Amino acid sequence: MSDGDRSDEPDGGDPESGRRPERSDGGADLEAAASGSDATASADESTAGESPESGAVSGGAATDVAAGRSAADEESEIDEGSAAGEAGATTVREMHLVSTNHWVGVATVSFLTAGLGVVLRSRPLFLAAVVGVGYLAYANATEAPEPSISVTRSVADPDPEPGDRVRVTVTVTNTGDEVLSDLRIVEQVPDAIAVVDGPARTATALRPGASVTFAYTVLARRGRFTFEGIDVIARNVSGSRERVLDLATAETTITCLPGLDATDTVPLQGLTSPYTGRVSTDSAGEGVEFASLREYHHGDALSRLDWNRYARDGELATMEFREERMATVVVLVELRRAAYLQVGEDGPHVADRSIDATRRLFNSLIATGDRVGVAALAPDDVWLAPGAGPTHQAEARRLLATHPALSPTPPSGRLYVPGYLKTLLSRLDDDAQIVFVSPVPDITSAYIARALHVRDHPVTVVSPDPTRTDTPGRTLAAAERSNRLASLRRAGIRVVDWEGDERLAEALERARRRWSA
Amino acid sequence: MIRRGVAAAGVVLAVVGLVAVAVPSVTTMLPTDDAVVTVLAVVLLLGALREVQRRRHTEFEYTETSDTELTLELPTPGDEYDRELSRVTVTRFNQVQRQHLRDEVREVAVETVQRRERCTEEEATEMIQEGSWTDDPFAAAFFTRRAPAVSRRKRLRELVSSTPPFRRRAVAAIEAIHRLAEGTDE
Amino acid sequence: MTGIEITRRPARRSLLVSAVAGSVATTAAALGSPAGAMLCLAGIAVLVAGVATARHGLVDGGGLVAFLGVVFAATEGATAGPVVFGTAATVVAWDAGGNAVSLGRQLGNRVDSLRVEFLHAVAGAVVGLTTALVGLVLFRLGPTRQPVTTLFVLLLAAVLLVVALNR
Repeated sequence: MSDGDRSDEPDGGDPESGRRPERSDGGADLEAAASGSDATASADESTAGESPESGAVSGGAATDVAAGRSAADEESEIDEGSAAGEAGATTVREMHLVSTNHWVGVATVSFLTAGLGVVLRSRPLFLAAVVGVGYLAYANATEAPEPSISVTRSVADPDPEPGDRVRVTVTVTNTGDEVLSDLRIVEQVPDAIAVVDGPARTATALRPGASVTFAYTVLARRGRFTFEGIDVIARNVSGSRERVLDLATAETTITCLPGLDATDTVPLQGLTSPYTGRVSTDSAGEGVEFASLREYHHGDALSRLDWNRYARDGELATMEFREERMATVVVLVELRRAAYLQVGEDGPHVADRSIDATRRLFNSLIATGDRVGVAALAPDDVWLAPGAGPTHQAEARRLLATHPALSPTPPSGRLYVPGYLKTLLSRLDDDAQIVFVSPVPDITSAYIARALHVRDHPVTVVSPDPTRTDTPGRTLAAAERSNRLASLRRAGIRVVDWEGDERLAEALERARRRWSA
Repeated sequence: MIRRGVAAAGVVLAVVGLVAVAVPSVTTMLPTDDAVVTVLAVVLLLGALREVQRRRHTEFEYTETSDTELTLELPTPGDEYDRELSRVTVTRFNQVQRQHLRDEVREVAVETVQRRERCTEEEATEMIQEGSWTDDPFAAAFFTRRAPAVSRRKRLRELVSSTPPFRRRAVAAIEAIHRLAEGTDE
Repeated sequence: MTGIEITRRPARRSLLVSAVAGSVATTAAALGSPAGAMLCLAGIAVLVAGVATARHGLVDGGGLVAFLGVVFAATEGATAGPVVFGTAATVVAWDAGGNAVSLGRQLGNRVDSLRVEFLHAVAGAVVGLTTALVGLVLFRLGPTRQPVTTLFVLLLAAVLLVVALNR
């Protein structure tokens, strides 16, 4: 599960797409179209007093739900068949029914009083036993309700600075016609984000149409974080049965990235070499690189003669060109446990940065016409062979968004490096180049980069800097890493040292200038 | 099976009881001597005991909720070294640990000197041994294990300052290494 | 920043519900015998302590002891009313206590769960009161004052049926 934004649209900071998440594990679609609008109308009444700060977000506030079609994306939802696409709709991902055992043992009351009552022929005790029977029946009479719920989430500032405290307000509405007498609600806060005020939970009882609002504060950090789920526990009146639901809600995203770093692509001049591929590009005449001069042979095309030279020296020479060829590139992202780092207490998670960079590099490379694939240096197998075209792009997008190895949580297994290298090398085309996205946290990364480079797979390292220099240990680690990168450069590998606050585009530009100097 | 038997018994008794409400004389036919009563009482009290035991032995099965407010604590490179450094400077009589820390720094120092001075590993090690790799006397002293080449007054100040000498020298050495590593771009 | 970690215990306020029900039980027991009331009080104290520390074991144990207190009062000659309402109050206290602990464990002590807990406790109280009243009324005002045997037979039937139908 990646924290990256799964939206296909360019990231202009539109956090509430109102799109229903594409999960179809057979979960029942809970929102009832007809009662939906009634429910949202009464939701307005009950939340009129509170005013959730929705800031610039359009789809968030409960009032907007009644307006319904405010966000532009809502239009596209109409063809999905139902009147859903309202920001509050939820889908059930998982449901469990549990017996809480809350009332187990209450029969003791009846047995004890009846037993003693017999011996003592005591009417009061018998009557007490009747009470016990009543509770026994009460405990088993009802089943946990199946809640029909809509959830609206709004964020005070969807575009904060790192270190800002952002208030998240959640409104939960009962859109069904059952009374929900015991609801316990726990927000699914993205793993990488911390809540610093107020639990992201609430307990409530909701009549049909009623709603409850609660809010909490999170601490923004660099990156892109999507709130997309909520846990609901519904009990019956007596508390003997519990229904637990994992609901998917509309997505709300907090984006905390430096300006244009939120784009999908990066300028790539010089990142890969366009002249070593196998396959010629179709565009003749463009993209040719001057290679050498040779003596004129009778029959050479006149357009290929170096006329400047003839004018200068009176000699005829023919220019030889290397045609631009489609490069084959594999973007290899480092996701071993050692690469799961964060830059100081409030800095970004390096793995998130790496995965984000991988996505953008892939998009950029494929846009220039190269054949691009994706792989990960991780205990799990992640491999998408190089290809081109829109289908391939879509597949890559899906992989980058949903593959379990590409997640903000560190893996639990270990990587067996020699075996991994062997598999990777067998999969790579002979002329494949590698863009290695890695913080280079230890010598294993350097070893792998060198091993690939030496076997004729030119490697370019894009390295998000995980180090700080605010304490002695960290400064030492920074120096160590600097040495590691230097040794890679000495081996002929190009390294882009991507600093903490820098935009990836700037880092690439800086490196390109260095390489062409 | 038992369930059905119990249910059947219950139904029978219910019928009898309801009949007895209407026709009180029925109850006189029921055995009410002490023996029966005692047996019934014992059965019921045993039932009570069973219920109590049942309660004691059933686990609570309601759902546990996750700690969603918390976030992943990931390390920053160098955190481990900081922890060890704090531990070492607080306790005494820990020459082994200090040597270990010193060795870690030395390794990076050698590599850095090699890289910048473009010399062999032996030469780098020697420079560090002698202290000629850096201008900072405290940094040099960290590896030479001798007194730093500074004025007496400065040395005195080092001894009385709140930072223990080991830590101060280690920090000086690390900073010097970092300066060297970040020097001119290659 | 690691974020706040919730304390998985009931909020202070949650103790109220169980405490109130418990005091009703104790009063009822007191009408029968002071010793019974003492026992009941001790049980309620343990129950409330169990809620405060989110331990189901203490809540159950305390509830049982409180109930024994009421039973003891009954054996000491308390009349039907106090015994019946005392029993119901004990069960309500125990039920509310267990519910508070589950809320504390699932949501922590910073969530305002008073309304939910109150609703739950009231529902339980209603059940207890209704059965108590039904029992009292039916067997006081039956066609003749029913002999104990009939009561007993009917009661046994009810117990057996419900236990058999127990899920």
